[in-house]
Amino acid sequence: MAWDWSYTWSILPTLLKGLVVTLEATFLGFAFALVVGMVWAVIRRGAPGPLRTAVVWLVEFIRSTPLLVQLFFIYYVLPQWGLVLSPLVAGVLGLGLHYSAYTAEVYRSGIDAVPKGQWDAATALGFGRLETFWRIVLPQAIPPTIPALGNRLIAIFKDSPLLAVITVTELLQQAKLLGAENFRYLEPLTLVGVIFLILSLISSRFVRWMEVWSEQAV
Amino acid sequence: MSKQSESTGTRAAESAGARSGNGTPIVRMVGVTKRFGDEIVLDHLDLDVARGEKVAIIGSSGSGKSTILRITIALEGIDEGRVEIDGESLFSMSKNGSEGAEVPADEAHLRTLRERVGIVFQHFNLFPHMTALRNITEAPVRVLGLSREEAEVRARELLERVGLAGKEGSHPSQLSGGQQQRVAIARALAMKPEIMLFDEVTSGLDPEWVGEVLNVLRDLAREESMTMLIVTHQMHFAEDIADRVLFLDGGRIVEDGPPEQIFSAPEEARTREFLDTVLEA
Repeated sequence: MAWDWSYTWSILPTLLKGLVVTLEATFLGFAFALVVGMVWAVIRRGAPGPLRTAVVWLVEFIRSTPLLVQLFFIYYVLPQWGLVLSPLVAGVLGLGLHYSAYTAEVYRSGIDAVPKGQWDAATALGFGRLETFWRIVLPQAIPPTIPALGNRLIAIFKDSPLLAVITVTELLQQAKLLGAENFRYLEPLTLVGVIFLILSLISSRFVRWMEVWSEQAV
Repeated sequence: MSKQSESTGTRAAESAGARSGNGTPIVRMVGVTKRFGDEIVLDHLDLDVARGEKVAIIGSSGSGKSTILRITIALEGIDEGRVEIDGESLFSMSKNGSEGAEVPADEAHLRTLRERVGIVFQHFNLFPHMTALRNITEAPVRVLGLSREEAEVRARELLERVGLAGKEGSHPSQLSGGQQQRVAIARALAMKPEIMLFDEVTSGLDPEWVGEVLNVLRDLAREESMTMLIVTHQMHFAEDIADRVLFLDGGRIVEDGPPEQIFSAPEEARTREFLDTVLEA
């Protein structure tokens, strides 16, 4: 089976439409993971016992079950309880929730790395716990975690083809549809691989650059 | 509270009255016990400090010196006893204004009393993401509610006072240890505390920076109204600036007296042993 260049060029625009959806899901999912992960980290750091225990278990549960199962659950089970979500929203929710367990862990390591003396100094100056956390501890905790968060972003990007199983027409799904339509899978699926490769390489470079930058910033 | 500690309290009160001549001690500890796990750090400690007194606290490491300071500013709680700042209980408060009934202090109560106390740490603990000026202005602005302009005027005065005019824009990482510690002193002073606590403030410094920090402390000690509790290993410095020296051992105050007495004619054998060891070194 020979490579067909004219077919390749003809499907490229449609594939790029799929790429746009992939990027949407990736960045929205990442934003969700950043915010929700912070909520988990804050609760684990400072909330009263029962709530903290609940969150510890929830995070453990999310990390210990496959993303694929979570996606199926959100898309196919939640509607039976009255929560109907569009494929993309379900996908963003699934990616974001899954990766919030990992961003929470990244935040936690960053927060723990801030010396206890910083809490002492702020408390002694009259800051309350929450103020100390937001104004003194977090600004020191976050910059060192930026490379690790960047790696999470890349991981979300590479997991995003899973959304194909809940009918999101992202890059992989789009390639599958094109292949089925034309009875040729070689070109669309190769292109998917190439696109992922190129974008992953670029973003890894970017993360490495962020690493250098965050080391200089501290 | 037990009968025993009440009577100790009265005795401590009398001796403080005799020393300061009038009024309530600015810091009072009665029967204070502090444990870390099984280890007893402070053992039924009684201490009265009169307003304006400069008290040096000496003793070997692990004797509980720093813990006294950390309790005074409520960075540590206590297991037994009572601590008062200017007559007001630190770790308990009266319930809804009713007389007698006391409940454990809440965060607001601790914060109110903490405002009257400042502390300088061994490792400076400056905020690394802020400039020297911002380190000093942050708490006056956020906690005391000063305008940024007022706070900056005050901060510049303080920086000048500790000999660091012109370093406003430097980040802690750009300053020497001695300079960082002087910024930390200015930061504590910016809150206008009545009581200043110095927790081995020269122990984390290279020898070349010790002098400049001690000079700032000497300068502060000239202020009559400022109460100072100074934990230090610099015996000559303690002798020089303190009105009173406490020798701590095993979580108890073994000897308490004017520096002339403690350093020249200590009454307790343990004080002599300790001084022999440190002064030899």
